[in-house]
Amino acid sequence: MLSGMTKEGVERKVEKTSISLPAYLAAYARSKENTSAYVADLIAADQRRTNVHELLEQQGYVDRLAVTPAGCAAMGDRLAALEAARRRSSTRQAA
Amino acid sequence: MSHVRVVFDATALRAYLELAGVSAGELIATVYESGGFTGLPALVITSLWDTLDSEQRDRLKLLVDDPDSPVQILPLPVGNLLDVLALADRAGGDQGLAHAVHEACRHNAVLATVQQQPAGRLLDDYDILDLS
Repeated sequence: MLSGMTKEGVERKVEKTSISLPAYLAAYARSKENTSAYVADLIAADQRRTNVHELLEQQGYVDRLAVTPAGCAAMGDRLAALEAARRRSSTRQAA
Repeated sequence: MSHVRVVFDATALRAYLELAGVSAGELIATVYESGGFTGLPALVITSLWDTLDSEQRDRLKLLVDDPDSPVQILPLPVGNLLDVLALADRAGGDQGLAHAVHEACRHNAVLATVQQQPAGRLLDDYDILDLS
């Protein structure tokens, strides 16, 4: 990180860049309302995924304890089901 | 403001720190990948600290100190102290669980635990994710 610049400041700093994409992907990206924000969100999500998996590996979550995409997907489904049940309950209570 | 989607009680945090299974790690990763955070209430950490060995303490320090940490320590503001203590009375004196339940309600988050029964005295089933 640059001296005197906070992490938040680094995240807000914008840099114009040029990348090459297959034409069909470039067309899809341009179809989004804000192409730059769309691409930035995709990269940020990938960065979050990479960071958390590296941290978990560093913490000992490897081999039989490895956190896998399939395991996360199943956990995500469980969490989403609970959150949906909670929303239904709060809707019933509000009615 | 960052979104705390899940709050760990002491049993869930212990399971994570002991590498007792993969569920707690999967949950932390899943929440972080979705753009949220896992909350670790301060009283949960203090209630566990004396029982952790050096390896588990190091794991906790690395987890919370990482610049891109997927967890957030949730402090106990003075204004919430009496509410948490009242909850602890209903939780058999378990102040860590009381703080976890209080934070889960405050953030509209799900409580993650390895022992559903104690939390079940304070929350509905759909508020609790059982990691056992």
